[in-house]
Amino acid sequence: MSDDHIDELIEAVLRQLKAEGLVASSSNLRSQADNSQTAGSHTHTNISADLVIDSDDPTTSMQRIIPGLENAADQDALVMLMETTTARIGVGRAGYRPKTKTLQLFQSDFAISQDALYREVDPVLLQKFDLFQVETMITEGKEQYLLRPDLGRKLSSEAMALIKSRCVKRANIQICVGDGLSATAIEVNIPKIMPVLISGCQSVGLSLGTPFFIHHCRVGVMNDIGDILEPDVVILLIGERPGLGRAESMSAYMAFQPRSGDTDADREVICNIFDNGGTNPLEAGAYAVQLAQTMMKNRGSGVKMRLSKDSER
Amino acid sequence: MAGDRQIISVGIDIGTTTTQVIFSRLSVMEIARPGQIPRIDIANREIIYTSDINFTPLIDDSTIDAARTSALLESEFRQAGIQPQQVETGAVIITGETARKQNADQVLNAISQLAGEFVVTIAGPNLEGMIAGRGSGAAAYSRKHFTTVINLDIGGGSANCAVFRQGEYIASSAMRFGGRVIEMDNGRITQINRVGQMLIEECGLRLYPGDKPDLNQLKAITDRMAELTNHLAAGSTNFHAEKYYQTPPIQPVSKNHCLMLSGGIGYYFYDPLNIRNVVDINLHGDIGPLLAESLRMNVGLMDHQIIRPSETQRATVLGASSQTVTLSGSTIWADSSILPLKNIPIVRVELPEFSADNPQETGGQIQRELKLAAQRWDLQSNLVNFALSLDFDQALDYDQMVLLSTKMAEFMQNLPATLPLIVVTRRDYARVIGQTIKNLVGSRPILIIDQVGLSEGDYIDIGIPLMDGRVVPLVVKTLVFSH
Ligand code: B12
Repeated sequence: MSDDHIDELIEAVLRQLKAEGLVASSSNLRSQADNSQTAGSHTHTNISADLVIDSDDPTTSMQRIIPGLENAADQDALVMLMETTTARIGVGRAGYRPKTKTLQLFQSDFAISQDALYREVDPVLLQKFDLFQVETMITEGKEQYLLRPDLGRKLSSEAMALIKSRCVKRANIQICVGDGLSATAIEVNIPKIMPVLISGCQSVGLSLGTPFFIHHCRVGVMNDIGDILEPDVVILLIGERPGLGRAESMSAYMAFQPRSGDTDADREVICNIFDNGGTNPLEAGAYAVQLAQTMMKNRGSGVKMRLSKDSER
Repeated sequence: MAGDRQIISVGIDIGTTTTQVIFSRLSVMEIARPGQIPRIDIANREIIYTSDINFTPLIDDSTIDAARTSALLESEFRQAGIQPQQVETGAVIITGETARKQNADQVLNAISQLAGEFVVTIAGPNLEGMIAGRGSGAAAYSRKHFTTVINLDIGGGSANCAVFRQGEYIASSAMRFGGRVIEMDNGRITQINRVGQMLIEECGLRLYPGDKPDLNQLKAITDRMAELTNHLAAGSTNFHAEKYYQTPPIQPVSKNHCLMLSGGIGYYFYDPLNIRNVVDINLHGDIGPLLAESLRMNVGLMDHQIIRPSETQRATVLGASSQTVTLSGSTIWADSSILPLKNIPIVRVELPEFSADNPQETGGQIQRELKLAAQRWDLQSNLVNFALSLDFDQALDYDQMVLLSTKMAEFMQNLPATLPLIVVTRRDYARVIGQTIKNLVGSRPILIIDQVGLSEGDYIDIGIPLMDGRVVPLVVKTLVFSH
């Protein structure tokens, strides 16, 4: 989350609190510890010069591996163990309850996930990559999107017309981007993976279709795209369901000549694409190009391709 | 599982005292969960033949008889039922005092028929320590228990120390002493080597071949070696210890760690002989078992948490057989026409922090660092292959990756046309960097591999790609700390 964004949020919250008379307008919420410079993890947010948040951002990777457990028999080993998992281990407890820090981290992580889900992808990003936007059958916003996955798998009739009029047909590779369940995932990964996919396809001589962005998108929409544009391979870059505190994870779902009626069994997925912990988006892009080549060579994807590949051996 | 690949690997340990052979079968397979990008690794290591512990055929007290050693190994291959050409990888280690250059070369020459295309030769005390620590199980233990393990491998003529933290090799050091500094037969001294003499003098004793020492005299000597062992494990030194170090001491390790002993002395450390008199300790014609006893009684060593390794006596040969080869990352860029490659020196490129606002400047810095690396390698006089190790610890964005690749492509264009570009990175970027460079350099062969960390001064062997060309086997020879 960018600092600006945090500032905005805090400002909005403060305005609300002031309006409700819950906070004195000249706030005395001042930090006693704003000189702590611990590894840049201090969220030093200064609103109208009178509010300072005095607790460290609990979601940084540095903060996550500070044990809450006191007097561990082997402190070093505990830290190493904590580094190997995102499970909340080594956190200690306060009597029967979690420590304040544990609770804060949990709440912050939950907020990150919710933000990723309910926010919209930044239109500037779509412009930058020349992605025009189309809609699925969802007409009533995120709540409907969450409740009706079936509608997220079908393009609206306007979308179909727009795609028909603007896109190159029967390309080797059709790249599409969908918000899916995380706008954050799209915002952080698209700038990295898009150019790798494009230059990768070009360098191995694969022709590219016209990429576009699908709002309120589900994976199944690949079938409609296949029906309309008839490319050899569709690559759909889509935001994964956020985990607790893990919002930037993206998938590339890929299918060879998808058509209506196809299921997930006919598709492939490269999942967990993100920097620092997942497959980084640059390398994932290069791998997706390689996988697309394999699909074209085998003229298939998903379970069928695997079966035919295994019988070749 | 479909698509497994089996590799036969040999380990040959030719030491001052003993020569051992182990054959293992390594299974290479896909280990990634579906959906993740592929990860191929060595999933299983199975020992298929273990030789006896043979005495090394010697001409005099420190020169190996190359012809007889070769004959000995040939008969081990026969007994194992393995043809030399079946062996795809492994290592030959010539340890201890015997590693003297000329003699080692003779031995290697004599056994070159047995050591296949991709069997590497390894020498140098730091490397021996590392291999022994992998073979003893110290490395695996440290990974499994999220801890740090110091492995002390003590044999006839040398004591090798290696430190592993969570499975990773951290450091090593070595001293020249061991169970065979004094050789005995039936209570009588038959031989004393140079180190044995130093120890005798330091203990204020006078002992010569032919003498019949009493147990206390020998105990004084082995106690002294136990003190040296203490220094070795603690990473400390003093006026006396200095004389025995073959390498700089290790950096002292954190308080929470374990200690393992391997090698012949390690064996008797955990399974002691019942020693009543001098004759009891001469089981192998030396004072090894008494050294083990002194180590057991040493108060300093008791400060460490002592753990029993999974292998003692055969740690080094086992390490050589099953632990020397590793695999690259599984999304790489390899023009296999140039493989295999042997003894490729690593030249490290100190990459700058990539600045987002000033690519021009970063580009200039990368170019300078590449040039400096080439100068250090001295391209003019060294017209042989070398590999660039790119070290950066940040996630790259697209422009940064392209900048880096472009600078490397330019660098390659200035290389003599006979040399391929070989690049190794720790982070998982090989395929994308390869794709980008290939676009710029056309048909010239390149080899970009990742998920291996290397330092300047390392050497690597790179084998023929496995599993449809998706990974390459590697042997890393870390020589940096060697004298
Ligand atoms: C939610 C989820 C599911 C849900 C989907 C619910 C639904 N109908 O929406 C359920 C529980 C059904 C499911 C089942 C399976 N899943 Co699942 N699933 C996920 C999860 C956690 C999130 C996916 C997501 O965010 N999608 C994005 C949204 C926007 O897409 P969507 O259109 O709403 O939902 C579609 C996709 O989720 C897709 N999908 C879900 N799983 C899989 C697996 C494969 C192989 C494919 C092609 C598609 C697919 O199916 C949904 C309907 O079309 C991911 C983890 C991750 N890191 O991505 C694993 C993950 C994608 N699933 C995985 C697997 C293995 C499976 C199963 C094959 C498990 C099994 N052995 O039966 C089945 C097959 C599903 C199928 N449809 O055929 C693996 C994929 C590995 C692979 N390439 O083979 C993942 C990456 C988890 C993992 N790390 O192991 N899954």
